[in-house]
Amino acid sequence: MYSLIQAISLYGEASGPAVVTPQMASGLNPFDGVIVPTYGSIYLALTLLFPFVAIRSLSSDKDSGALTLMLQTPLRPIALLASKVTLLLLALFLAELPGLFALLLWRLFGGHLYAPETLCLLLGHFLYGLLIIAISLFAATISESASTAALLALACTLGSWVLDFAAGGNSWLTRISGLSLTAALKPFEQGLIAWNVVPGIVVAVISLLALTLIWWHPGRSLSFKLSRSATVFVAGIVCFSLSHFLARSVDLTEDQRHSFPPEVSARLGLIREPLRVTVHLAPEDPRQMDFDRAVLKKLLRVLPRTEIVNQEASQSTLFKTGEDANYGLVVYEIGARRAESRSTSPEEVLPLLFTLAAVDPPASENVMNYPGYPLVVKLGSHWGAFLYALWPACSFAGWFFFSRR
Amino acid sequence: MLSVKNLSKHFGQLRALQDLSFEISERSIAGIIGPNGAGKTTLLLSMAGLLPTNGGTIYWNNEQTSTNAQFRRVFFYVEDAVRPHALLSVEAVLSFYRCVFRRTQNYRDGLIDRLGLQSFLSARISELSKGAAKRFLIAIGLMSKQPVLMLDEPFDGLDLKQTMEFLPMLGETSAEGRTLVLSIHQLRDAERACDRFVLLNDGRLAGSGTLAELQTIAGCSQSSGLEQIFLALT
Repeated sequence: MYSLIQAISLYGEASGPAVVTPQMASGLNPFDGVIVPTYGSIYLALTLLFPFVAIRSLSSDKDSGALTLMLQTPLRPIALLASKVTLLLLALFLAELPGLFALLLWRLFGGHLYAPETLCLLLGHFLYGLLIIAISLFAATISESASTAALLALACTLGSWVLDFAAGGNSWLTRISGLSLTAALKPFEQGLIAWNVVPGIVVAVISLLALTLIWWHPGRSLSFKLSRSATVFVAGIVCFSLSHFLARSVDLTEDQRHSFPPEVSARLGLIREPLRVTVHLAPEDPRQMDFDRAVLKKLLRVLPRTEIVNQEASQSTLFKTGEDANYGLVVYEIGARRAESRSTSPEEVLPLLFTLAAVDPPASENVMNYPGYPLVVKLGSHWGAFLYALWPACSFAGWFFFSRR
Repeated sequence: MLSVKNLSKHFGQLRALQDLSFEISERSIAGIIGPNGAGKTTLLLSMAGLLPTNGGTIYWNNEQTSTNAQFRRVFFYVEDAVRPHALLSVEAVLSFYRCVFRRTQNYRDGLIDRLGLQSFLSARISELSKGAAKRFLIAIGLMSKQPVLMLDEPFDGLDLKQTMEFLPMLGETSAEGRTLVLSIHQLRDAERACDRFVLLNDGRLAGSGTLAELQTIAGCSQSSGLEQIFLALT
């Protein structure tokens, strides 16, 4: 609720001038300004708190002897695990309720929601929650106690943050950080459904649940567990690698910010030979960031075989003199043909690419005009008090009701 | 016939079970007897397939049990001093196991009645006294349908009256066709409840058979009890 109130307040401040000057409204996107920041707190709760819920559901059964009893019943182990996961999905739904409530409030305040991008975010959170459940159950299975399992699970979730933080500027760490949990959620927060991410998460979840099934039976020998785990690990790696061939993605944002105009994309799609782009810009250079957002990422969506090499990122910056004549240069190569430019703007890069590829540029571009949705909501102090009190009160009532049963 | 052949279990340097071989006939009530640390629980866990062993095989009616599915089909083991599903009520848990084992409502009610659990039905498992928790665990065990039921210290926590009420239930369960294997450290309880015995000492088999067979093996008189037999064999 705090995130929602803060997001609405900041969005309202930014919307003030746009209400007066409609030209400024196009920069106001409620998905980026309100919905994603509000769901940021759900992400934190899923990362930091939900593992404890998932771990407790299995560790308490292990400690109390319930698991031993249930493993001897006619119920198949996979059915037991499925029931556990189903229960945790219900808990995940409860954990997501504040987010859904925030969406409802935003609509009640008159805010705009674009269903595809909102559903994309919800799907991302569902898959992320599923991944957290799978990690936590596996951690609970291999650990002697719930506290050790919590340490293991948090090492995975928080380790992802460390990986993301350390990745900046280092090419191999950047590649590894692409596998982090945060990286898995990121496309969904950008309104993108990346076809390699969805099966990637599903493969990771299935592999972790398979490992849980292998490790949770106390009667299996260590050698049996290790050999079966190796099989699951290899199968998981193969499937995960295969999923990376699915390089396509669907842009579900209302302003289609990850896509070139349809006519441009169609023309770029005619380029059959692989494109190689060599960039001489430091990753932290604002031009590189602009170039990445406005050209490279869009290009990769249309031409997934494009190879992008950042010469500055792959070189050590420790002894850089700053007198590199090539700095700022971007080299485009298709087959034996080559072109150079220092521009990072799509207006200049795209014609250059069409010339290089000998493809006619589109006759006209149907540029989408995103209207923007400014909204100023004045939340009185009574609203704040109500929102801050409502959820804790519901949680307490729920705990009180169920604990007395 | 339940046959255990050359069963061994080590925990690092500790040899908890050493090359155990014995047989328990079908429909009997066998007592695994031994002092604390003799390896009784380890033996039951190993027989139930809930603890990996370092060697040995287990046969049920001449069929080797080696996979989890086979163990699950033949054995049901109830641990001692556990509180499974601690936050749920006795009624909810017993209803769950009744459904899982496809027992009738009458069968469940009969167990609740005979084990004196009526007044605890709405109580959480975590709130039960030691004796009530033991009777609850026995109820789960009797709800199961596997041909071999193994109970770890079933008399621990039961008073004399409760023990005397429970003994006929063991006999009835055996008469229904199930084989009972009970881990007992109180020799008097064992003599009352069991018709066969497996004597364990320091992970080794000290002897196995009926009381009369053990008296002969130990060279004791026919009036000797388990205590004298155990002392003579160890």
